[in-house]
Amino acid sequence: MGASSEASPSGLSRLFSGGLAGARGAVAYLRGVMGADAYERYCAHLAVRHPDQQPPTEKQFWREHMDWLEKNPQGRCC
Amino acid sequence: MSNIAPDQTELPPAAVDPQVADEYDRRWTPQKIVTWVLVALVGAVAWAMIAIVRGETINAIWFVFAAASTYLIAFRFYSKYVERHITKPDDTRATPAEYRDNGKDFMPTDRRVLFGHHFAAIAGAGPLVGPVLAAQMGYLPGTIWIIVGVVLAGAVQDYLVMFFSMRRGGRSLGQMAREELGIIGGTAALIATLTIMIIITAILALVVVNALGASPWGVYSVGLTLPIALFMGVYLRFLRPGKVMEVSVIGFVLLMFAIISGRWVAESAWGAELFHLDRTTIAWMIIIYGFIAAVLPVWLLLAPRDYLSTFMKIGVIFLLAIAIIVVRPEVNFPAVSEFASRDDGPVVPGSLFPFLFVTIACGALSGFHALISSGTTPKLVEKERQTRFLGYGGMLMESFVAIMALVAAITIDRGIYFAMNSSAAATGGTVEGAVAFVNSLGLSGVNLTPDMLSELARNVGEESVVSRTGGAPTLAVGIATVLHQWFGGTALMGFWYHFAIMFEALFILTAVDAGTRVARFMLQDTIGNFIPRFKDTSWTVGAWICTAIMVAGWGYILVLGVTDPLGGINTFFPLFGIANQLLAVIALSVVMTIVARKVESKYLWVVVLPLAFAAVITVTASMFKIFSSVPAVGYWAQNSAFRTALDEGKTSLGTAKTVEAMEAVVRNTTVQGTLSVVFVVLTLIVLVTSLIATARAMRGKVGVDTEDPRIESRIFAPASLFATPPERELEEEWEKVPVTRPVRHH
Repeated sequence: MGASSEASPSGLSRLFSGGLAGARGAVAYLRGVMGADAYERYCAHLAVRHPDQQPPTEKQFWREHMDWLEKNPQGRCC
Repeated sequence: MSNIAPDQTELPPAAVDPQVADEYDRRWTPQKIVTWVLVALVGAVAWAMIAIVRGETINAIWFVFAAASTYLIAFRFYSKYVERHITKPDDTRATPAEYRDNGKDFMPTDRRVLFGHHFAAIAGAGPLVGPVLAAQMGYLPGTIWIIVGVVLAGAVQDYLVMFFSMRRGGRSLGQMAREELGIIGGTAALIATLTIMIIITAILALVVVNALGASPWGVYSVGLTLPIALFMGVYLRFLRPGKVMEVSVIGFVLLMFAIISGRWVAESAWGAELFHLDRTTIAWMIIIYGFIAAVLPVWLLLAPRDYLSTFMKIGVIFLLAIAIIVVRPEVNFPAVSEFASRDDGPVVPGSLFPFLFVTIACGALSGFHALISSGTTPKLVEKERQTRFLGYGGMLMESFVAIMALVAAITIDRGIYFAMNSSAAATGGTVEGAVAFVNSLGLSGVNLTPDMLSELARNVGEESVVSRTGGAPTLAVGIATVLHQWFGGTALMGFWYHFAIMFEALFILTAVDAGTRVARFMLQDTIGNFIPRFKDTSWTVGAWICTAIMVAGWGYILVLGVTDPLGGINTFFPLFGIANQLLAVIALSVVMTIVARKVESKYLWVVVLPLAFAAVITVTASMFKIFSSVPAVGYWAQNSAFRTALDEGKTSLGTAKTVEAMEAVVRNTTVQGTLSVVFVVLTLIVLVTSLIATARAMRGKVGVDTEDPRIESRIFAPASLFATPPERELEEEWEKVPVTRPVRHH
């Protein structure tokens, strides 16, 4: 993180940080596909669209999400 | 809020100028030409290796190349043709995700994330099972149908349904059918959908039962997924709400433990006794499970199991693709086998036409996808142009899974394949019986010995591999054969086998309970037209009654399949494919009606071609099943043969050795034959109403426009996986716009 390592990054550390960024990207992607980021996305949505509204707590959000799923079953294919 | 919304002129355009985009598309730089010539060459060589060059064996890698290059060409050229002439997307038009954005089910979602999301929803056990069963006809017919079928039929259906649903605010296929085909066509489509869900659920459950019957290891490890899912549900609800990835990783680790410890349990005396269950018992357990899972709160079982299933799905498909590329196994099957032209194949009866096309449904053309492609995904699409990547591309991906399943299945010994997939009625369920039966088939190059079967059973940790029909165990052996060469050797074959069984069971059980739930809501909605109280989905009594009706429906067929004296999979599986193709006929009929109103009739063939093919397949296969005089093929022929024998006072016929078994055959064939009649009648009703609607549209009597009104888009994103240079330029312009810009809420 220091300025010195940024100035002369060795090949290994560059590879490492590149790998780390790749892994982070992969985790973020997987989270998106599985819908694990639903809460963050909803808060971001509120911040832009309804800045006057207080976002729900994470627990509250997921409870409402599950209640919604209860009434809107998502099909899974064969 | 509109007072703070910036004027439209402040924002960059919401779409690349169509002319600029078109120019880029049509400008053939040397680099582009070289790339596509190379793709075409690789494809041509791979297809030649598969179809024409016949050595002793052929390497599985050629299937991967043939499939991948064909998909690339189809995606780049054919799907663009469909886009240019049929869908004509307009990126200046807001999608439902944008104009109805609620941060939840309507929300613009990154196209790459949505691709994964959509793929996880459409891909399941179907593309894994069908190709395995169709391998009895040789690898070539199945390969051609999977690849050509997806390009011209399956991917077109998924793409068009998704696009038209998106233009209608994410309406479901059922709603669109009512709007486009009128009350008769719409009702027929609804009844067909409900019947099909019953059939598909029953036959998927039958696949699981066959994989777990008399398998203590399998029963134990698949059984453990229930407490694991319950634990995950409680964890997410009370301990760490929203930590989906964390709990999925924990669930995955527990799952691995369930598979590994399965060997210890199965090898212990108590474990073998406790978990050795016969198939009828397992069928009843799945029926009870199906009911409970569908009425339990979603957070407790369904949602966590769905996370686990999605997690496994993505992992397994990557694993399999890498393993096939690394191991490059040799194929032991002929290109076209003896059974392609005969109608007495022991795995599924019937000749290549039409039965290849109903045995492989998912992977080439799957009507069920129309239910997923309408509704969920269209509400999340960011830009209209992305539907080509999501709908067409997503289905290409599923087709690739089907090809990998086919490859895994045809790398195992052909004698073993037939020993595993011939019904117990043919093999007697014993090693000796299986060897005698398979060798009596007179297949070239097949010389099965008892040692081969018992050694395989020992390696995969099963008591027996004889007559494990349904495709799942065969695929598991194929996957274990490929993976153990890459990692772990023979010592890990049992692990890989049960790993494969586990994820297939996981996919199927998720489809079973999600399907039961979806069908329950549809049934409640339908009954609600007569008894309004049923429309209230939170009314417990109504929910329980409708769930019980649906579970009774598929449970009945499941039990018939499990106890079928003639086998089970071989007699019931054709109904699965016919039902799925019937749903495709319905979806394509709806699409044809819409397209006929919208575009020049000279391009209508894009929809007519797959629709006509699916209709011919469904109707012909049903006709064979209803009218064929060959008992193995025709349900009523079988029915009357057994009826006559019973009337004559015989106490056994063929593989039915008792009067009860003979009566069971009469009962089963009555159910199967009746369903075939129902399917063909429903297909014809939908087809006729759609043809009438299409003809009216073509005569210029344009009905009501069913699209949602146009709203200007105020966001931008590239259309496909990679941004083109013009898209990149526009993206850079958008990046300069402050992120938290307030947007007018419609």
